[in-house]
Amino acid sequence: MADGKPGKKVLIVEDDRFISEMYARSLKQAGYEVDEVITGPEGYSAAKNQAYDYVLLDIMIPDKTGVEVLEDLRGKDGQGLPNTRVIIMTNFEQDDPTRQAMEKLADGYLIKAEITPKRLVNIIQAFEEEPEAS
Amino acid sequence: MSKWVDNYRRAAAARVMLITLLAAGAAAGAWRVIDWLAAAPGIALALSGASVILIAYLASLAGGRLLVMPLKQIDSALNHVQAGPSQQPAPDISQGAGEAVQQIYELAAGARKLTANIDGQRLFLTAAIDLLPIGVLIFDHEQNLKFINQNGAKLLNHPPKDLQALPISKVLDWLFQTDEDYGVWLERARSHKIKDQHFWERVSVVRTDGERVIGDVAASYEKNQSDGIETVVVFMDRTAQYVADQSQLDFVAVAAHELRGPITVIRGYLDVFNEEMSKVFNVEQRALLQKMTVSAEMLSLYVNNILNVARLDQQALKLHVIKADWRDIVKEAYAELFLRAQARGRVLKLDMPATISPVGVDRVSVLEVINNLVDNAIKYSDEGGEIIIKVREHDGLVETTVQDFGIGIPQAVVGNLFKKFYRSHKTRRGVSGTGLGLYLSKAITDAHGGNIWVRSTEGQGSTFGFDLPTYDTIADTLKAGDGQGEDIKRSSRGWIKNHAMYRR
Repeated sequence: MADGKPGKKVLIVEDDRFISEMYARSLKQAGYEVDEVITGPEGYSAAKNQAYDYVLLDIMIPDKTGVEVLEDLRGKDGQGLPNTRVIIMTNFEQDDPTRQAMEKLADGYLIKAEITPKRLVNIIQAFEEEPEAS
Repeated sequence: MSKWVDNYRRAAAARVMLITLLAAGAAAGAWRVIDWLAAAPGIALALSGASVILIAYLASLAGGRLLVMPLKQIDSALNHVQAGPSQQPAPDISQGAGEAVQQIYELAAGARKLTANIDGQRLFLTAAIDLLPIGVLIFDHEQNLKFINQNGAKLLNHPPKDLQALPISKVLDWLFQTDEDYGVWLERARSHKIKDQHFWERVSVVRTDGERVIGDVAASYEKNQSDGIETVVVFMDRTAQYVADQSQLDFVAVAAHELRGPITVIRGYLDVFNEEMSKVFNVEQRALLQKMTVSAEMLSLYVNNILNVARLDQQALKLHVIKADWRDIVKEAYAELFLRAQARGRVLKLDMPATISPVGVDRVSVLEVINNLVDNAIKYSDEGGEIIIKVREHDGLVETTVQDFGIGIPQAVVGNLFKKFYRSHKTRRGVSGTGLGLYLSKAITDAHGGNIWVRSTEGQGSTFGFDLPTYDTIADTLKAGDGQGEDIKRSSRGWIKNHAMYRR
């Protein structure tokens, strides 16, 4: 299994401890620095205050939904945090308006029940192989 | 010519002749006097001239009156009939054109009865339409409102006065579930059809009182009708039903979401065990681990099926159909299914031509179909058995079959296979699962404009197959410019934009 580049930082915003621990474990093994928070507001301030390379964002989180956090992070013009890839990770299938909003603002949308930790690591590593422009 | 005209002509001719003879006789008699006046020729000439003129005048008066009498009778009868019995006296019908006048009276009486009937009918129908528990709206060629019944009036976003001149967009505030709404349908009907009809479900309407209702809409269109009607629209309020349906769907969506939480952890750590613990386990333990992995996969598949069937039942299952490479899709499915089949002791093979025309599909949904058919084949085939996925193209269709060589399916059962919840009585020991997979697969292939079928011989095996139209055959029914999401490659796991992983 290839190691991620040293120093790449990942923020996991997820209120199910079992799930966040599971993904964090494999990402750390692959060489990433991982922070975990539980609520929407915590996710927003963490992402604003530190430069994360990846934010794995659940939708059904306390106090503020992942969609709202995403919209706030990207801002009105949708150009906020240009160097941060935001990947929605959820088990809740979205209705069309929400899905369309996410397609514009997010870099990915994954159903957790279908994504093993190994698969997630592969997906993130594949982002590393792309040129920076998205 | 009518008999009375003939009779009248003879009578009139006889009278004119009689008068002329009398006049001639009078004139002849007058000559005696004129002879006596021969001594005075000037006076004789003047007298004879005057008498001729007088006779001619009298004759013409009598003749004219005779000729005009029937016309006067008819005219008087018409006036009498129009003005009503009190206003004018009725003509004498004992002579002349009496028969014709009688016919006029009969016609008039008939016409009055007819008008009374039509008025009565109109009142009756209007009352009936007002009683209908549905909204009825009728629009003219400019889509201005021509008629609306009582229930229809409640649906408008505009108070009922002065409706007749308003265009439809100002009259109804309604929202359709599909892209083909009333406006799109009408445009298509106007340019392509003489007559057309359409039915929409779950149309949401904001009423005059501000409340939102949901119901079904039926509309009919007819071109260039002289009665000025272009479309008739009917709205059936089904709010109670649909609101209940929506909460049922919400329940399933929430339940599926809850179930997926623990499924995520189970599948995730099983995968971790596979990676990190294989060396520690013996062969048998590794096999047990495999079985757990497969079971967790099936659990996830069944939860997906439940969610999709619930959506299907509420017509909320939406397909995003785009042009796709079928070989690509089948290869992706094959890669995963090969391992799953292997874990359950089956050998999965693939037989596919080197080139296939592009198809128009919703990637996630057709992958579910392939998944379900292979899953089915695994269930009903033997340990060590072969399962063959075969793809062929013919007649504008791309056909995919999944063949197994297992126990086969009895003819009696075959017809019921694609029904919901159906499970054959003859189920093998160890075969599990509800009857949702095939039901869902049929719904998905139908929605793509394709077919699904099964051929089976007991004791020899079964072949399940489905075909999909090629992209070219359906390209013009897909909206132009709906390339949304073409850079977003979707799978049942979700999507990643323009991802390097998909470019390898």
